[in-house]
Amino acid sequence: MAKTIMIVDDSATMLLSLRSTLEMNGYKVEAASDGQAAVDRLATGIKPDLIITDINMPRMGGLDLIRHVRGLPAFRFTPILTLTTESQTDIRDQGRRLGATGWLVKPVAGPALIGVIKQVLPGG
Amino acid sequence: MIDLLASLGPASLSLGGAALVLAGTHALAFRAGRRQVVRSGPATEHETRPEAEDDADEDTGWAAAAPPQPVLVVDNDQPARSALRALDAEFGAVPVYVETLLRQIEGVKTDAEAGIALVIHEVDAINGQARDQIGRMHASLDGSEALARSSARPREIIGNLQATLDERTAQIRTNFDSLSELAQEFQSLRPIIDTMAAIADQAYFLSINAAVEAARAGSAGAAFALVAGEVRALSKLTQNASKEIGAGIATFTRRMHEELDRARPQAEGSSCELDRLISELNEIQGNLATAGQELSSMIQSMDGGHRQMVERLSTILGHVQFQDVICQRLEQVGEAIGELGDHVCDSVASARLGKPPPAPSLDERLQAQQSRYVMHSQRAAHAQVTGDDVQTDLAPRIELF
Repeated sequence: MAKTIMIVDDSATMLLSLRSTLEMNGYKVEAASDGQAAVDRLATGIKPDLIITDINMPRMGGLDLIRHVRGLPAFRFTPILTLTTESQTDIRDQGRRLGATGWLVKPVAGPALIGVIKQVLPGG
Repeated sequence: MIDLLASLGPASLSLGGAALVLAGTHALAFRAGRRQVVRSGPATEHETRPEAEDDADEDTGWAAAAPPQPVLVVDNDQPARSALRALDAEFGAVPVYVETLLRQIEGVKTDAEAGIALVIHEVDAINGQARDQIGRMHASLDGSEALARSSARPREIIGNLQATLDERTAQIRTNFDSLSELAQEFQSLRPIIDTMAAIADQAYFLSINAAVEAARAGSAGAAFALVAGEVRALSKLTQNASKEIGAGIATFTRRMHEELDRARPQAEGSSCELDRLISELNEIQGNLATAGQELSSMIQSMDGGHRQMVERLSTILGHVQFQDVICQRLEQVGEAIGELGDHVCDSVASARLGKPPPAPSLDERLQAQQSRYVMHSQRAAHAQVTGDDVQTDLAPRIELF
């Protein structure tokens, strides 16, 4: 059964390209345009196997999303990757402390992204 | 725009290296790398800053703001008033200019997004077509595997047929051999029949001699003559029967040999024909099996090709992320341009009121820009202009915690 990945980004083109990349590699995709939208989607009962989130977004940013998701018992161990232009070390460290699984700085080539996803997804 | 000169009254102006001086209570000084409105108090005499100080500011670009002070003060200088009026008109165009730039940036972002969306759409379409083809190929693969499985059954049937045919052929050969032996055994009866014929001949001659001797005996030999007659008749019958049996045996064995000679090639021919058919069936079955394996191999190869294509398409989609990176940089440039425009307009408004430019200063605003950078490339570009040190970006682009 295909694994479900939630992608969170305020850029429509990023969501498009990520959706295409993931779907053509056999994953099911849930998309959200910011952290708050992602929280709302999770509240509907969907349970993604992995969350990939941007950091700098309106309404709710990626760090707040990570903090919120780690507070939900159902998602305590769900891997969360950041995919962001944010390269500052202190922000990265903050993400690590909040429970991010990995930090990816845009742009990331598709095969590299898929490689990381296979590393962090339970069962590959 | 409200006439700047009207609000300024007598003022002083230094624009670049040129100095204009107006008499009045306020002085407006615009210098390269620094913008200040300064209250000069009654200015009735020339106040000129040393040239070297101007140079120093220009060298450092956005140096810290110096305390407000008049640069030049000249009473009732008509050319200077004209220049200020022209400058006022120039500043009036700043909001439009800034808005135009922001609209251009927004247009670039919109065009880039539309272009990238089209690229992604095309990539999706290519992948969709390839996926459909792969689906059809997998259906063919299933068919070829079914073909390979079903080809095993004809092979088994052909094997059984060959075994049955071999058995039947051997049996026919045995039957032919048995019939040949039987004909030979019939043929071997001929000497016995000849012996019987010879005995019959001998009996016939004896019966004639007996009849002659019976006649010579007269009435005493009448009964004996009767027996001799019967013996002669019997021997004659035996003679005839022996000849007929001999002829029958000869005819039977000849015809049997003829039939065997005629049937043997036909039987062997039929066997050869069946062997040929079985051989052809074997060849067809072999070709089917080979074709199935080749089809399976080809489809697997194409499947691998599709996986490579997906990898390349994924690479393309990864590359289009540059658009998001560029858009974020453009957004920040747009915000900075807007902030610059606001600051210029606020500064002009302050100047009209004879007040200094509003805080924070442009220099402080530029410094503040650094805290908004998210990319190393942004910090590097900033440092290239300001001469600040910029740390090398040592953090990996992909890091798993």
